[in-house]
Amino acid sequence: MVRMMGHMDMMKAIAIIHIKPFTHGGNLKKMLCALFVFAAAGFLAEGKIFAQESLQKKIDQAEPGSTVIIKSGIYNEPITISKPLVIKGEGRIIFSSQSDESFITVEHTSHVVINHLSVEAEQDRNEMTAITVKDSSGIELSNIEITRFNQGVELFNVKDSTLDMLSIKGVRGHFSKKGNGISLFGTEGITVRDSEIDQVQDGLYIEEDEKSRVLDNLVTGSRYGIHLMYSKGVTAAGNTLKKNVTGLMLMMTNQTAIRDNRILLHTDYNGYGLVLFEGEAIVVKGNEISENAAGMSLQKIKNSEIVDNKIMANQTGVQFIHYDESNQMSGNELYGNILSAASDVRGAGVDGNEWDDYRGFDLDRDGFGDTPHQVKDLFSQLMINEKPYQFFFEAPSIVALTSLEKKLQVEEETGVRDERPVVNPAEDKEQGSFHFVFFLAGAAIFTGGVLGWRKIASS
Amino acid sequence: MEKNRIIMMIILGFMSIGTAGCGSADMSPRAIQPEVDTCEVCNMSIAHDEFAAQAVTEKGDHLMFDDIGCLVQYEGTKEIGAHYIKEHATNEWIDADKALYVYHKDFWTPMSYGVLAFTTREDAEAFIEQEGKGELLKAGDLKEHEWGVHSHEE
Repeated sequence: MVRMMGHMDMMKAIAIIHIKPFTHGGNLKKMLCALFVFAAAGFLAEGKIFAQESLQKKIDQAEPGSTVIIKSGIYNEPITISKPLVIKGEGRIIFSSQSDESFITVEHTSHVVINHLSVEAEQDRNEMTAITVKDSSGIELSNIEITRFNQGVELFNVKDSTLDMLSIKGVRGHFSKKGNGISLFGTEGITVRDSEIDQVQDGLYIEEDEKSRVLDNLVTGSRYGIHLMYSKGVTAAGNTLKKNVTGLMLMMTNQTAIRDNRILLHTDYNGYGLVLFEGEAIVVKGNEISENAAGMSLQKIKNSEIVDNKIMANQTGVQFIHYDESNQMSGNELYGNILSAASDVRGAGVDGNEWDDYRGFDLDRDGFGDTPHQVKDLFSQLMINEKPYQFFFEAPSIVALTSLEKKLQVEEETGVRDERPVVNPAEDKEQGSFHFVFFLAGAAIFTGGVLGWRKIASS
Repeated sequence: MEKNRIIMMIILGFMSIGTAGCGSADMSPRAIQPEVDTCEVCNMSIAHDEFAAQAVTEKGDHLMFDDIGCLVQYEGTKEIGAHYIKEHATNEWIDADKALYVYHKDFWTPMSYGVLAFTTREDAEAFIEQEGKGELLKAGDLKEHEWGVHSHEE
């Protein structure tokens, strides 16, 4: 066990002893004596930690499966765990180290549980990671609060482990100067859930992972909320990604499921709600994507499904870049977006989505518009290739040109085209319905009005 | 007389404006602006500028790449005027044609291509020795290099 007393604590203790004599008519001799004691205390407290027994030694001596408590205090000693143990925190822990080593490293083991830990890095500008796990399995991290570390938790080649209810808050500053909240490298079967991450580079950075699940987390104030690279079979569900540069970034992933997430308020110059880049067999279903610079950007993806999402109040709803015919985009609701869709010159064919800017009719009442919905906007095509053009978005001259373009529009294959735009069946039903109560009320008002008018006219 | 003078001044004015745009494009590299610069190929923001690459088109437009692999992909499709890469040790721009490269699947780069740039052969070889792994590549080898992603360890 390590017993510690910080510099400030010691100063306070000495001040309590010496302030009293001064207030009772102390003289210069006493003051000088007190100053000497203060100076001596300062030298003694320089190391901040008074180790009676090393925490590492206690871990080394613990029986496999037993519990080790890390008590509140300032620690400058990184620890390594390489056998099954339960590590439990008690109170607030400050990690003060000059090296870049992680506070806790778990390696080459299984069944390590770390919980109820609240750990803070002593200084903002550091390269330290709070917890690193390497080449292990069956690891459980829960109820852990990490603040001011460069990186929160890193997992390398770890299998079948759980990260539950972590709270990670990075340092203030530009994302390029920080590390990630949670990083998974070469992992498999990891579950990250109910965690909150703020002010880091990427909230969750996942590379070369298989079958991990990211559930019900909140990521804010970072570069990417969730950043997936070269991974397979990952599920991200029920997460809220808010006010990052981009909510969800998927690059070269396969068989990824993105379900029931809320992705909102990504309004930076490079802001996107969701970017899918060069992936295959991705399912994006039931998400709410709102108030982003671009809600969703689909770039060079194949054999993927984008279904039943609500894409609303974005500057551009969906961008299609190198869109492949093998994808299926249907059942989505796009409303309140300034520009519902934009594509590169290749265009995109989709089917059965609801567009609030569709101006056609459903005269045969089959629930689908009688004519295709066509979005072709030359300015939006330019904006995809040249991002600075977004500063002219909705400028009067651009609005005038776009209006003219719509008036002169002829059906063609380029642009975004929905062959069967959904016409809201609820609204359609309302148009032809008869409400007897409203009819009676209307008739009564009309009759009353006529009678009243006749009475006024005759008087 | 006064009228001719004014006309001459107007013509000269237009000529000077016209010729102002005819200067040769600046082909030198520019600093990365992490707030706005994104990779031209993969769209990722450039958060790790020590691995970045840059191409300058003949018109003088600067295009940024987060990883040398993305620059090589881009060069396969379009003509460029000059290209630069960040030197691994110093984080300074160097001419991509004159650089030497070290590849190993375990070297982390933003797109996991694992290729790092060095100014001199001595630096590159010293790095290989220090890391205990790595393959030395010349600029000419990059087009033939297999740019697939390779699993890497920590």
